[in-house]
Amino acid sequence: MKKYIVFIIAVMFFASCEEVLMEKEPKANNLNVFDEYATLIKEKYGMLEFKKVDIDALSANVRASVTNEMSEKELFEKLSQLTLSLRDGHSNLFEAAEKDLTENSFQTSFDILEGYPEAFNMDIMINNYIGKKINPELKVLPDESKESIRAVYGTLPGHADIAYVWIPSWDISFEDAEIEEMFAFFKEKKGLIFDIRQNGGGDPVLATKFASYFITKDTYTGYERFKIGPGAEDFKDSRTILHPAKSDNLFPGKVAVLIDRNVYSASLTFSYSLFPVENVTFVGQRAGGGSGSVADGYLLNGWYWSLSVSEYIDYQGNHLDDGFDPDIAVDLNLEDKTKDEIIERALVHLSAQ
Amino acid sequence: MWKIYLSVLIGMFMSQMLYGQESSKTYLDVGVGRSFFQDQKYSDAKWNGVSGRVDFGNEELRKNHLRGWNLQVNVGSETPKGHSHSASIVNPSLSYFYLRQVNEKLYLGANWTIANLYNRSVSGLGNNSSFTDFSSSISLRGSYDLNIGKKALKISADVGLVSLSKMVISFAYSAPQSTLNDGKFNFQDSSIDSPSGKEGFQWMAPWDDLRIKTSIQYALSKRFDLVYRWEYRKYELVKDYPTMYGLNSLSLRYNFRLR
Repeated sequence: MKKYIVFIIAVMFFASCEEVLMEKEPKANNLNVFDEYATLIKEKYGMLEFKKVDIDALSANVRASVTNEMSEKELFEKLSQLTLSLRDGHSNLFEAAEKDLTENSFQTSFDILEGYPEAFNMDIMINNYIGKKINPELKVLPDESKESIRAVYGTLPGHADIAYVWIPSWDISFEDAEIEEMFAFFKEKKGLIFDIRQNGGGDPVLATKFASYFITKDTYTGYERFKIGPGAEDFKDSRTILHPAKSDNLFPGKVAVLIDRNVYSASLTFSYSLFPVENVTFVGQRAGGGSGSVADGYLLNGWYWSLSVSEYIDYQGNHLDDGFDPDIAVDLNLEDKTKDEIIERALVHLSAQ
Repeated sequence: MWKIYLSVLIGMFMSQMLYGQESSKTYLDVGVGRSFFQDQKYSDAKWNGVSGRVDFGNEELRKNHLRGWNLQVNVGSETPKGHSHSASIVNPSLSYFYLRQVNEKLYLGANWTIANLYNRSVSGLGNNSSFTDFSSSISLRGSYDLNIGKKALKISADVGLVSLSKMVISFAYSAPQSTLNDGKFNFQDSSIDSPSGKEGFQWMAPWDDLRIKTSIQYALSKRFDLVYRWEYRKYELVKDYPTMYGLNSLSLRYNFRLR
């Protein structure tokens, strides 16, 4: 009997140890949820200074109107004031995880497109440039579901000497052989239109991999300033040296990168990686930005948050989170459905000696 | 470094196979437990859940020492109090121990956790959905045999001495803290994200990385033991923002090879 008692006492002792050793968990009431979110922004957000947000003052001001009795909707609206103050498409607040959101879910995101006209039109593209009827030779790489595409590439009607590729998202994957095949094709052309309009991001590793085909030597592209601790000055810069791809198909020729306001996040990564490259020209509309790397999590009550926890500053010291202007600004004329002015301007640029 | 690591490992297991022993047992444990997790870098929420656990190992007793190895796999799921999002945990670990006999009942020595991979996936998250912690550590171990009647009760405890760890998470981002602190983050370096990739490992002292393991083993019969274990880890990548996790488990052990 004695041994059973020893065993049971020992088990009970150790089983209760974790409660002593772990930190206290606050209740998920409105004030605690508000404080948790305000603290996350204060400690983790990577661009408070650049965005000119005084988070302490703003939090104190909003918190004064938060009560534990207010409804979930009212509380969400209070938290959303903090979210929107960041003016950052990466920094969101949702009632649930993104995959579980419905039309009725509470959602707050900064609209990066507001105030910008359309700079890409699918009908114009299909009828004049990339549709099967007008351009049967164009190669299409579908995604796994076969319902959307990862890339289209080839040449455009009437311009056999200039390659064209459109990658509408970086939230995809390519086999190395596919990328090699693509660039082997580009290499034979005198110029390349690399269209990333509508590309709102995805995997920055993939975007960087593509960028590495456009350089022939190690290239300093800027630095990413990461939040590494809770203090206002707790940042550390990671300098980025872009290494050329280990490939025989590097493309050192003239490149026109087509951009619009949707160019965001990993597409910005692709873009800033090419800023120092002399032969690369950006054509189109001001890009969206989104230079920060993103962290995410759940608040005490299960609401989803995401925040930019770094900022990228390019090789010339420019802050990029609010986007960047193209070298050649072009508007899309939606009344003329026979051509895409941005593509046409890029063709003129690449055709010039 | 990996070559040295593997050579030492092979040497240890070979010596165990080559040299004779007074007694030896090979065992399989199957058990269930209650796991817990709290990462104050991101939230004060505590996560709890049920975990299944399997251990496979060997212990051999020689004239004046006890040594053996253990392969452990925990698989579980956790949720916090405040919401229903869940996290799934997979935690394989391989360890080797060597204890010198101090007196009839007491053994003291070391346990080397050769490789421990703690992977935690949280549903619905993006960049922070996966939390990976890969480490190798050395602990002091004490083991005390209580022979009550004919049946044995063995109590052992480990306290971590030093660890070489890589957590693919930092104060604010899903990359190792040391990589960011050293300004070495780069999208072209795939070793940063890989749990065993060379970039991002850091040596941690016990005051930064507290590891405690206890075990109470009660012999039900010659073949069967009941084993209760409590494992706790607390580390701080950033001061005052600890991460804590662990497991309480109860297993039934079958000693299927006794010599």
